[in-house]
Parts: sequence; C-alpha cells; structure tokens
Amino acid sequence: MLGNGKKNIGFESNLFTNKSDATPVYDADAVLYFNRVTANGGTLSTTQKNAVNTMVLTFKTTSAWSKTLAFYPFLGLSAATCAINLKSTSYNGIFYGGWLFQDAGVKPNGTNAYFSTTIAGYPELVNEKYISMCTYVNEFIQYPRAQMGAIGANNTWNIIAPKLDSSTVGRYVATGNNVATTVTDALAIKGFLAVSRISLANFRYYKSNVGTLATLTAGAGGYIYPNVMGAFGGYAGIIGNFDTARIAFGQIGNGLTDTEMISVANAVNTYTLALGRQ
Amino acid sequence: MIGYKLTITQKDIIQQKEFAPKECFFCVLDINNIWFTILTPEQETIILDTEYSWVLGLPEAEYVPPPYVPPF
Repeated sequence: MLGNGKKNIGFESNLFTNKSDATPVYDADAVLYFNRVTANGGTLSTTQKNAVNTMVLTFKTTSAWSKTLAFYPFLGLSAATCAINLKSTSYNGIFYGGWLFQDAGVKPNGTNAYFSTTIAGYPELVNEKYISMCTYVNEFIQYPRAQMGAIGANNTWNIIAPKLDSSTVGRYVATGNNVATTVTDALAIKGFLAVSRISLANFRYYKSNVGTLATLTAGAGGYIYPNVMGAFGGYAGIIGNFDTARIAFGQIGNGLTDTEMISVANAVNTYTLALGRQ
Repeated sequence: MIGYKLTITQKDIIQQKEFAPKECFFCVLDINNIWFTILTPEQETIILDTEYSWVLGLPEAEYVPPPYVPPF
C-alpha cells in the first residue's frame, strides 16, 4: 500500500511512505531488478526480494559490485525473467535448448542446453584476460561435462568444470593451464564454484562446498567467445560438454581479489540458503 | 532422451532462433550425423502457438550423442 492510500499494484518503489506501510526499504538496484522481472511477466515473493536485496547489499560492501558485469539470480520461473541481469539492463542472457525453470534454479537437460551470458572477455572486460565467474549449482556436475566457461584460440580457455582424465586425475578448473592434478571428489562437486584472475600469472579457484581455495598459475585465458553456463563454449564458438546440474546463481565480470570473491561466495551462499536452493 | 529429427534445411531455419523471449532452439548432431533438437514439455506448449509449431510434427527418435571428444 502506498502512503497516499492507493495500492501499489505494479512496480516497486524504494521510497518509504509511512509507519503503517509494511513494505521494506530495498536497495535501489534491487528495486530496478524487481521491476524488470515484473515487466517480463514474473512474480517475486517477499522472501525472494529480501534474499536478492541482502545479496546486493553484501556485494556492495566490496568492489565486487562495480567489477561485475552480470549477476543472474535466476528467478521468475521463465526464460524471460531468469535471463535478467541483476546488475544492469545490459548483458541479459539467452537460454538455448532444453531448460526447466524451477523454484530451485534453472536446469539444463545435459544434451543441447546452455545459457549464454553474451559476455566474452573481449571487448566486455576492462582487461580481456582478467575475468571472474562463478555459479552455484545444487546438483552434482556430471563427468565429463563442464559447468561454465569459454574456449578461445591458441590453447586458451576459462572453464569451471571437473575435466577428468580418469577417476582420480584431472582438473577442477582450467584457466589457460592444462596441468592435471590429483582429484579426489570430482564426481561430487556442487555448491559455489568460481574462478578469478587477479594477476597476469595467477588464477584463484574456489570450491566452497569443501572450503578449498587453490591458486593456479596460468597463461592466457580464453576471451574471444561468450562465456556460457551449463556447458562451455568450444573452439570457433561451438558449444559442448552439456551439463545437467541445476544452477541457482551465476556471476561474471572483471577479475576479483580474494577478498571480493569471498564476499561474493558468502553472499551467494546466504542467498541460496534463504531460498532453499542448496 | 527423445528429440525431434531435422533435415539440414530445417535445422538452418530454427538454429538459435528465438521461440519465446530469451529462449531459443539449439540443434545438435547425433552419433549418425543427424540433426536433433530436444525440448521440454513446457517449451513444446509455448512453441505450439508460434510460427515454429511445425517442429512438433517432426519425427521423434532417441537422441544418441556422438562419442565424447575432450575439448583439450
């Protein structure tokens, strides 16, 4: 109810009206996101709005907000609403192939489905090779599929995956570096997964479900083709390695520092917990 | 997984075309080099009311993916 006694039947306002108005004060960017979801035919619950608002406020406690190009909360139960970028009106994604739009997130069919962020390292990023990206998946990633990323040319790529050579040797993530390591839980990976390049030589990889933080020395990352979720972009933009894991949240942007990515991880974990998406 | 079989011409007509806001077809080759598109029941309901409703009349078959080729 608005302060003038008229019902607010459509778009949100972040302005308080009077003491009897129970509408909470939301962050202005959160309100703009809510309005975009409404404009695309979606309906958000108070729980969902509160979860988004809390997440935005947490992002804004560091530079993660300003360095990120797109946050995808995947709300509204349709492609039109789940594709919406929380951060701005740019970089709304596109769903290709078979997807389900569920309360717990967006679920690809593992056969022909991927979500294009429309964001390639070049020209979208400040420095084409300094990228950060994360997803929160609440189902196990399937071998040998990938969760997110893109391949460039000349042996360059950014991928969140388990890419396995065997049941015990492979990579959780490949970011321009194809050195295999010992893998102990590659068939049980879910939760917050992220990678961020914070210097020319180093990526950091995050896998919060087991609380690990790995630093990978790497060469160039892939930056020619748009990064996708639910699969990854292959050479010449060919999409492959389709996964089935349901995605509860996604982010992509410029490289984040360790402090910034931990902030994102904490915010995303709080968001998925609030929505029962873990 | 069951999908719709397409000729190359049919694939070219729908590949990456939008049938609903922010929702597009994506066609993939099977083990026999035949083009398929796979849709959810919800997507089929949407497509019924679009210019692409003819896709739902195409022959259906089990989609068998080609052998996995490591990307790197």
